Amino acid sequence: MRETGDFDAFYTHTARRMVGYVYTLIGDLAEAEDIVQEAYARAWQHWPKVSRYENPQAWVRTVSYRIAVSSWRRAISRQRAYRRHGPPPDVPGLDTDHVALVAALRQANPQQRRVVVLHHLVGLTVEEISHETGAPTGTIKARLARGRAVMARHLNEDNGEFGPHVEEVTRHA
Amino acid sequence: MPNNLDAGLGRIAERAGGTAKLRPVAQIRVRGDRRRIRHRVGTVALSAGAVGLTAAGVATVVGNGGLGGGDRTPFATSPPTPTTSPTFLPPASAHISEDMLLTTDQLNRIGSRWQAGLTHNADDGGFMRCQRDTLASLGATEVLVQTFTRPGAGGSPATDAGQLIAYFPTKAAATEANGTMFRWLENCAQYATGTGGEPAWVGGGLVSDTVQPRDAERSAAGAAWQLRFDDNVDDQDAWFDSIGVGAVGQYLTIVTYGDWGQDANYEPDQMPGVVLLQDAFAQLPS
Repeated sequence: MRETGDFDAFYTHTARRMVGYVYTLIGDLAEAEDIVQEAYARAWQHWPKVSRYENPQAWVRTVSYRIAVSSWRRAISRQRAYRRHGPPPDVPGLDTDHVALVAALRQANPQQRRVVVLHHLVGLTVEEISHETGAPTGTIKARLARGRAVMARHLNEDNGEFGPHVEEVTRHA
Repeated sequence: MPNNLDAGLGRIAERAGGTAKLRPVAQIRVRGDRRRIRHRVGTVALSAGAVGLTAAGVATVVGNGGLGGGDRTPFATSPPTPTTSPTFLPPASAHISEDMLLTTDQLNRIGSRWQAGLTHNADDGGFMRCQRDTLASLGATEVLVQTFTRPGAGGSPATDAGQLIAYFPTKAAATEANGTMFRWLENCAQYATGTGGEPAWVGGGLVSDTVQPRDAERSAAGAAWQLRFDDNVDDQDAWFDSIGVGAVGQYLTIVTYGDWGQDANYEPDQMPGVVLLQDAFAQLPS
């Protein structure tokens, strides 16, 4: 019989943050909720093993990402959602900066977006991202720089709060 | 930008997390338990099914997971749940012939390296995923099955495909059976647990509920599904089953097409279940 207490606390304290992470990756709240709940169900399925990991959150984050990048699954889910409910509702009360930043994130490719979010939202270092994604640190740095450059280009076009000059972005990469 | 980006992403994530509608943790645990049970029950069921079929001298149609495609890895999505014993209908005679079946050329227009497997008339209720009973139980009097196999690329498991054609005494019976198959597939997630009867997660679902024949003069109608099944959460690979079911006159046909990998990217109208069902429609008497 597995102990539920640890898992319950883990879910309660981390799931909403995980939804935020996935939402920044895919820009669809309902889909993010579904992905995260599926990832936690898988975590519970393997809880005896996952609970012993140094960082169970990283495991859930990785599983969530893998579910999220399945473009096939997203396409099917959206098709079903549209058929049943029409366009999905988004996060309420969006301001223009929020919209601009989400739109800019979508300009980056999924790998760049993942690295940008892991670095700027989750707060991981390049080395930690390398460990989590399995990509070399040089690749991570390149994705980070290119992802930010793509976003900056988009934001500059929109003249939003997040619209710095490309030169500034590349300098920080 | 980095500081702005940190803060901006933080606000987006916080707002999304704060407004997310998450299920209670007890439901998450139930969902995880179902996944665990599916894996365990399915593996046992597959072994039992293989033993039973060996005893019957038939090595093709396996109870769970659909087609007997060589070395397909046993992972469970739904235990076999036919309510009647496997039925071996009389050999196809007057109404179904082998020239009505799909060919490897037709499958290879979608994929490659497909080879014909076995042709037989076993009707054990397990031709496709989420099938709940035999075709005979739905009124079919003849069944013909063609299996296809292909080796997996780069050491991945082999994949399989197949077609089943069933003949019914009346057009109404074929149409009704088509509706029953539709409900089985539409509720595939519900059947996937096989333990408590509660709904369970199954990736994907109905792709098109209006698969029509290419020839507008023909009277046929069907539907297609695309389903994803994970066998291991620690890798990114999964099985993708494309399934089409439709009725033409007094015939009902099921086509299945398996992929293995990280993704199965098809345009909706190019899904194997859609394309192969349209091929099948063209070859059946209306």
